[in-house]
Amino acid sequence: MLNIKGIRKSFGKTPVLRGLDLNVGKGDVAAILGPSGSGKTTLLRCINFLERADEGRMTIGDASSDFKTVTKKEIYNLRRKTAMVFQNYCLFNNKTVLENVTEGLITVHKKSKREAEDIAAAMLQKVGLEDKLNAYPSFLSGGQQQRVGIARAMAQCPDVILLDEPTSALDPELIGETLSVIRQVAKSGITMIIVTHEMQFAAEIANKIVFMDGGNIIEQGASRDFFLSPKEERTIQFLSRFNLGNYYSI
Amino acid sequence: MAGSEEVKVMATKLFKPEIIPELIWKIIQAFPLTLTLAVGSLILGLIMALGIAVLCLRAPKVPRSIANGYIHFIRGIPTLILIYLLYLGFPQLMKGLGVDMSGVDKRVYLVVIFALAVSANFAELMRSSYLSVDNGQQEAALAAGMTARQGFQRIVLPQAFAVALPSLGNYIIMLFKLTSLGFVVGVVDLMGKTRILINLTYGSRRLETYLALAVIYWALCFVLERLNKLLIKRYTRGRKDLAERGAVQ
Repeated sequence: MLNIKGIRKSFGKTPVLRGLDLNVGKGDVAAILGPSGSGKTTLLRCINFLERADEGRMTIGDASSDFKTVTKKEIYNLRRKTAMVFQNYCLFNNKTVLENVTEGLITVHKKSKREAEDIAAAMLQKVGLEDKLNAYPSFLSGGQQQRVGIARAMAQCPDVILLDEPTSALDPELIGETLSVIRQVAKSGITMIIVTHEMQFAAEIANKIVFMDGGNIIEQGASRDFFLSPKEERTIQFLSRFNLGNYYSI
Repeated sequence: MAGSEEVKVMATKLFKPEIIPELIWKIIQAFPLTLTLAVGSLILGLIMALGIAVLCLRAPKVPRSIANGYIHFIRGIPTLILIYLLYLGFPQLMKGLGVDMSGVDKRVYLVVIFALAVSANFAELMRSSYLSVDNGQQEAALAAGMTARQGFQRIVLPQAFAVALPSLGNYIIMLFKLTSLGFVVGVVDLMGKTRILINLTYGSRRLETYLALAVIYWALCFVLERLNKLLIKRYTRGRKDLAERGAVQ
C-alpha cells in the first residue's frame, strides 16, 4: 500500500529524517510514536508533500515517485491518494461544515454539487455532526472541528489517511469523542498512519507501531510485540514511563 | 451661472441657508469627474499595490527592499506635494530629456498621482491581510488535493479579503476625499466647481457654498460607509473573530 525507502530530509543543515524505510500494508493502522523532535510529523508531511523530502522513493498503491525528481503532476497525483487530519484542525474558516467536506470533492474529484453534498452529509453523520452542517468552524468546539477534519479526510476516499497528532490541541474531555471517531474509522478498514502521543490509544487501535527517535526508526513491529517485548534499549527507556500492565488489563 | 442681479440679491443677507439646495444641485454637476478620478485612481492604485505586495512577499532581497523603500517613501509625502512634484516638476525634467508632456491630460496626471498616493497603504494592507491567514489553510487545501492556485483563490483569498475589508473601506473613503485636491491643477471636480461658484459671487457666499460641498462629500461618504458595512457583513459570515472586529469600525 504505502512504501517509503531511504527518505531523507534536512531543514537547512539540521537533518530531520536520516534515510528511513517505512512499509504500511493495506488496512493497517500504523502509529508513529516517539519523543518531540524525532521527525514524526515531518515524515507525515513529507508523505503528503507539504514538505519536500530531499531523497528517497515513495510508492502509494500504483503510483511511485522519487522525491528528488518528482514532478508537480506526480505530487498532485500522489496527494490525491492521501488525506490529512491536522493537529490544529485547519478547517476552511470561510466555509461551512458541509462545504468543508464538499470543497475537495467538487474541486478535486469533480463531483457534482448534489453528489458531493450527499457524500458529505453521510460522512458528517458518521462523525455525529449531522446537526451542524451549516455551522461555521469558529462556532464549533475543538473536538467538533477535529471530527469535521476527519469527515473531510474520509470523504475523499483516500488510500491512506494521515493523522498528525489529532488530539494534541484538545482538552481531555474532548479527546474522548475524537478518539472514538478515529477508532470507528480504524475499524472500517481504512489504512491509517497516526502520529500520536496517546500511547494507550495507539496500543489499542494500531496493529503496527513505529518508534522514531532522532530522525531514525528505532524499532517497528506489531503493536503487542512492541509494547510487551521491546527489543531496543531506547524503546525500553521510552516505554518505561508508560505502564502497559494497566492498559492491557482494562 | 449666477448673473449680476443674483449676486446683488445674494449679498444682501449675511447667511442664507435657503440657497444651499440650489448650490448642491449646481456643484453636483461636477460629480462625474470626481467619480472618474476616484474610481480611476482606485483601480490603478490597487493594481500597483498588488505588484508591490507580491514583491514584498515573494521577491528576492533586492526588489523586495526596493518595494519596501517605495512604501516608506510614498507614505511620508503629503499628496499635495506629490501633485506639485509630478504635475509641475516632472514635465520640466522630461522636457530636459526632450519629451514634451504638455499634451497629457490633467486628469491622467491626477489619476496616476492619487493612485501612487494610495498604493503604498493598499500594498501594506494586502501584505498584512495575506499574512494574517494561517498557513494551515493553504496546507489543508493542498492536502485535499487542490492545486496551489485553487487553494489561494477559494480558501486564502476570500479570508484575506474579509480581513482587509474594514481598512479597505476606510482607505477608499480617504481616497474619495483626497480627490478634492485636484482643484490645485485646475480641474473642475466637486471642489473645483465649488471654487468657481464662489468666484462668480465674488466670495460673498463662501460659507453656503462650502457647506453645500461638505454636505455632498458627507452624503457620498455615508453611502460608501454603508456599502462597506454590508460587504463586511457578507464576507465575515461565520467568522466570530472578524465579525466583532468589523463591528467596532
